[in-house]
Amino acid sequence: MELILAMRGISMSFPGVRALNKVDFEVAGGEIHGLIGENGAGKSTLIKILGGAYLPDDGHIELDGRPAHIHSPRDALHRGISIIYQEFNLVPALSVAENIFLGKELVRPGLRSLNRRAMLGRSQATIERLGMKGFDCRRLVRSLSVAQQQMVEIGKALFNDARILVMDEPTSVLSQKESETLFALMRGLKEQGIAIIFISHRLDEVIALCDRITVLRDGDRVATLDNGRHEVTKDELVHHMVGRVLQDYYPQRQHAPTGEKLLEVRGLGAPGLFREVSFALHGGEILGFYGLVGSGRTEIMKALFGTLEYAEGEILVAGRPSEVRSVRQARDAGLALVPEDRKREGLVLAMSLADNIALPNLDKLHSAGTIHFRRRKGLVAGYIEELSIRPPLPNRQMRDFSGGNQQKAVIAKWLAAKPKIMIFDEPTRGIDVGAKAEIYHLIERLAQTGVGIIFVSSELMEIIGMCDRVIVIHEGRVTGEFDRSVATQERLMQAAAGF
Amino acid sequence: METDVTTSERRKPLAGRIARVLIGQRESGLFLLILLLLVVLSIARPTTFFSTENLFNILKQVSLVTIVAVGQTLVMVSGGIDLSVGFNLGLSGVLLAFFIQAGVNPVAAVVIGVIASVLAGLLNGVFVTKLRLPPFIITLGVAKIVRGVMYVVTRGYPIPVYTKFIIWFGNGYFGPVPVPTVFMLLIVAVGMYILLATVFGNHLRAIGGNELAARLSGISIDANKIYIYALTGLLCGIAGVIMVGRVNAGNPNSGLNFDLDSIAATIIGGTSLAGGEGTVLGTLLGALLLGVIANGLVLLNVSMYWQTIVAGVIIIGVCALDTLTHARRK
Repeated sequence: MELILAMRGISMSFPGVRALNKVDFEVAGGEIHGLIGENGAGKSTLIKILGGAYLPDDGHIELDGRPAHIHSPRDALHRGISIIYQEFNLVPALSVAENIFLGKELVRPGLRSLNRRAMLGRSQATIERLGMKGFDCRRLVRSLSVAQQQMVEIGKALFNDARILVMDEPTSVLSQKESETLFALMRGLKEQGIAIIFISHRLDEVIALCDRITVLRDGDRVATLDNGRHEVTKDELVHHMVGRVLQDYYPQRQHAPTGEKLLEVRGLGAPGLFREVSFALHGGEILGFYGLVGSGRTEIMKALFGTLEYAEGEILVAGRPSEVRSVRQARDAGLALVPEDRKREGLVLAMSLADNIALPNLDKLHSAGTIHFRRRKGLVAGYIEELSIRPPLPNRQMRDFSGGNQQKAVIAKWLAAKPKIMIFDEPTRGIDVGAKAEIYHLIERLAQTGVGIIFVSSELMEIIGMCDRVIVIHEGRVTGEFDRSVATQERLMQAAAGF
Repeated sequence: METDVTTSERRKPLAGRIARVLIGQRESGLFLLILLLLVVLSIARPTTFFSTENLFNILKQVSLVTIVAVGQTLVMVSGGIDLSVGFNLGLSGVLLAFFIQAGVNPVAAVVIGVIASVLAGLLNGVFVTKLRLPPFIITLGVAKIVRGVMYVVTRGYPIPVYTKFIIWFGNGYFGPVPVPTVFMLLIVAVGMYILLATVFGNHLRAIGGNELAARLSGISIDANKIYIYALTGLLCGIAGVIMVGRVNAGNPNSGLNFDLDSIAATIIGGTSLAGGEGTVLGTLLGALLLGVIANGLVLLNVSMYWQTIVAGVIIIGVCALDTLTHARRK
């Protein structure tokens, strides 16, 4: 097999994070190459560099053995690199044919009017090459199913003479049957000599489909495994993905669960999101929720917090049935949620740090509607100090703070509400190591004061480093519950993968 | 790295820091622009322009649009827009004139007119929150409905009003200060207070800045939105009463252009169309800028039609200048 693509010594850093460290990555024509790793291992960064969205700090890319300069998505496209992201780049209000020809429409000579018939004919031929006989390319993209839209994306890539096709988690939105159709199609493209880079969390699929598998971990390439006979095992992959030692930035465990049941959930379910979820949380306990992105963990937390309707089951707070149907009621019942996406759900970026911290606590800070600025100032200053938010400027706009300090602000606004149960959903995503450690220590201190903590994460290491107990969620169901003493990486990973 | 920023901010001399804050604000830029115009016009027309009478005249001219624009500012800070303010202003005036003509006690007629405007605002708020349609569509629709109601009531003709105290609202004076200007200043002060110092104002900014985060902070989105449209309705009602006093009639066409003029003053004043940011002081200055220019052009004998063109250039110019300076700072 001949190498089409070679990425050599690729390094890339973002402020506070080293995303890729001298990564080598090679792909041959007619190969399906799996690219796997935990969240944050560097897969997306590598793909974005290939697609021209990022320029690497160091390293270079070769296509067909010659150095290639890819400085923009346009460069990548011209060189036959097509990337199909999880979120499609199609215009919903245009037809399939119009989408395929977007930006390179065919026109008649002379008046330069659109040559719709020619475009339709050629689109039709491309789509039928994908095995979709009888599909009407005049249909609007918004009327198509997700699987069909994906086909259109692939068709568009082929139409652009793609030689390297990158598919980022293509099956996460597909049913079993649709996935199989897609795999058959991918094998067909491989026969035509197209190189496919396949990114997936579903290790079974990766093993069944890929000729070689490259594993990234913390920005390093840890292995490229030959899978020509599809005999690589999941255990082997998992081992490569997580094989590292606990770092010492987790706090000394000094909290002790009190045995008082703060929260009990029985048979909770919401159609299409999660079902039969039962667990209990005690005072002074750190309960981990581990699962992949999209497994339903975030939705379960939203149901607890009153922002998502559930269809069945019950929630007991301090032994009494919870009637929480709104954030206000949740707050008054002693719950707090530090949401997954701090910029979208946690903060008002155009307001100041002080405004944000005060937001859910204004009820305590006003008389007859007028805010007590002095009292607010005292409250805010206290939390800036306690969480060491930097820089300690209460009037600075939230958007000017770093990710770690933004996250501390979200935590501060809920700490100020004095919760008894505090839910942290991915509290350390995208923040630097120093801020991570501070957040871990803060959670430990909270647990010591008897607060019950639910710690949701897709990072195995922090789950194992922090939690007393771990509940594993896979496709909306609890697939395992492990005490700290038995919660090993392999066990959690296996439960999260559904076996 | 961030702590360096802090210390360097602290090390700068106080005067420099104050200057930086002032230059960074839209309000101070507008203030300087207005000052410049005042100087230029005073030189060009020393006797007619720079007289107490003329300056108060300008303040009187901008009073109505500013009163309405205070409501518009609060709506736009919360991420909405109200296109019904013009006709809603007309509504209270037309109804009060209608009821006075029908023999109702004038005070009761004023109350009825103002309440009608509040109800129209309430309708905006309820539709925006319960039908979950964009405020642009809802308020456009309500504007049409209100306009229709006025034509049904008046059959298209102005209804004259001779009641003394209502005329005083429009044309009276406290010493040298016109009554509409006093109302305007009071309402501006209340608007500033709401936006800067109250829980309600804080909630409006949060909703406009990030509705999802506001909801997840326990803020009741719907209630706040309904209040703000109703409050804007109230301001329209008050402006409508003053308008009747000014023109001595309830005229169904009296609110024409007020919706777009109030939006113009608001965005010149620095309120973001996307919501979350904006000040009432900026809006007042925006309205004043337009008022000074209109007045100056009249005194310079420029035709009214040209004034409209200049207003358009000002809207684009001020906003473009702001975007450009912001882009350069980044």
